Amino acid sequence: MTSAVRAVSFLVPARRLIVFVVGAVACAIFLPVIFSGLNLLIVNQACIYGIAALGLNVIFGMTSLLSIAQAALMGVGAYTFVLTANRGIGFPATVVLACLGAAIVSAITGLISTRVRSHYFILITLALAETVTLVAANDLSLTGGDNGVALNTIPTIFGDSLVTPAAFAPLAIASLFLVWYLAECLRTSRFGVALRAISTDEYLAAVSGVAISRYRLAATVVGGAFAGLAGAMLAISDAFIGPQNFQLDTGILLLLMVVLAGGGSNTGTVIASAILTYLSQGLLTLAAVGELIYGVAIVVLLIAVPDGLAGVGHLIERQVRTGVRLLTVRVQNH
Amino acid sequence: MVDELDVSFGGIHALRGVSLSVPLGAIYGIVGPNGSGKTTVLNAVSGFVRSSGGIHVLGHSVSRWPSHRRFGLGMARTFQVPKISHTLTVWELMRMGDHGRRDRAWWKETLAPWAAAREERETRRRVGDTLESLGLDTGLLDTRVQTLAQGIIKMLDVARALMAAPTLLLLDEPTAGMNEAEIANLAQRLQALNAAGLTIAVVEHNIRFLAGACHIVAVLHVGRKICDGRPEEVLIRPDVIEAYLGDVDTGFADPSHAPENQGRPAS
Repeated sequence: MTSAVRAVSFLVPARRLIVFVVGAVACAIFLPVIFSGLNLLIVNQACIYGIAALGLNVIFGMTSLLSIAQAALMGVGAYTFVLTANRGIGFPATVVLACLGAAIVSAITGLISTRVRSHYFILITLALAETVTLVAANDLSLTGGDNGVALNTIPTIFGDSLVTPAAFAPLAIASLFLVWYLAECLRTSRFGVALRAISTDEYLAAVSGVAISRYRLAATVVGGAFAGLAGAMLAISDAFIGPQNFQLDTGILLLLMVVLAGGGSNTGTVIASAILTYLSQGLLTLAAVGELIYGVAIVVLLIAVPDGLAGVGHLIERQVRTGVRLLTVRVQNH
Repeated sequence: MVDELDVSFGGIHALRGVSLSVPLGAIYGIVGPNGSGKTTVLNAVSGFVRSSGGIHVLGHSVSRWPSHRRFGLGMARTFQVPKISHTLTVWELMRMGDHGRRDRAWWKETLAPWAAAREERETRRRVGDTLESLGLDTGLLDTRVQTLAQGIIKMLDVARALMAAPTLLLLDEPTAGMNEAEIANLAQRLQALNAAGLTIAVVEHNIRFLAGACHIVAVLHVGRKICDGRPEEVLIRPDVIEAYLGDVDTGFADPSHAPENQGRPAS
């Protein structure tokens, strides 16, 4: 390799960073212009669910730990955020605390994952999810019970209050892109490859010197931290949180996003989050018919794209490559 | 390598008092009929099954170590049926082999991918060298492993194991699923690696391959070792033939087909 190539090769990881920054800036500027009213609320909601789904993608998509507790972990983050913010702790610090809180609770499932597998693990996450919502609904002095708890002071960024959907959208979009970028770095790193190896063949991982239980634990910590961030974002967006935000149906919605994405793909997860958030929220104006369409749409999506959106992406990629090859052959022949 | 090894599953004794010693620098074959415990020996050494008795790898007594620590010692192994994730590409599989040689913390790797870029370049070069040394196509890197033929997947599994730069390589039925040309190629490549200093222990069904490639073979039968020694001596013993070769074409019992005539002096 020539020294010139060597000198610029650090740019390869930098290229991804540039793409994500440009994407985030473009989306943060244009999406609030294109969408307004209810649609902008759905964009914000999709970003929040997207962040949580990317976290679940680390836990389930990459590591194959099937968890339905992701919404409950969002809840842990949201309550941590609101309760610390209402006690006078400043804005960025409260978000960090929300991530930490959710990561710690998630780590409990990670520790358990070294002992139990597959369906037993799902039951453990079910128990955790129920515990979190029950504590939220019944610990009146701390969480306000079923009435929930309001965020007393809406955070401000550069002096701008985040109270309106239009003001909140850039933060939500920037957070989504940050998490998306981190998840993508993680997926392609040595660590991410090891996680994906663990998920299909623990023996392959073990003979490669991977300490499997430690890696599983790390995956749950990362996924939990992302859920905590999503919870904090939800609390800012709604200025109010209650146990109903973090029920099992949300946990299953997040799981569907990762399943629809397929193959641990982060980009697929983000697209699936947008589609499923729209289906679950955007159709609510149709009342009960909306839920019916939502249900049918999920069944159709799962049948139509069994390999998930990642599978569709690979198919298109293959078609394009074949097309390009045929084209170059034809050009050479002429 | 193993000393008085006992492994049992429930009430079934898979291995009873098996002692095998793989000399450094040798190609060591482990033969036996189905169910004789060949793969179980490798699994015990890998730490995949509970065992009693001593296991020594490259000067360390590892019987109480978790698998990932054992493979940190400079040991690598392949699988009879490599189960490889459909999401992994050849390049990512090779990086798995390389995994143990890196010790940067995972979060540093994630948060500062540019710091790993230099190492990745070195890895890419080694992957190219390794694939070439096994006669594999280096243009496969971005191909998904699952789309490839079984024989190539088996060779890739060997390449993945070699990426760990091992001093001891354990092979689990490497020729299963390979065609004649691939088997001949593998034997040749392994001998070249061995000549460069790699110690190889291979569990195998294919007598022709073993007789041609190994310096020493040990024969297992229902969890016990019958005998070990130079292949041309061991494979013509009546008890070995009865245990294993009885109803198989025993071409090697005939001295005219002895391994010396196959171009491989068993030293």
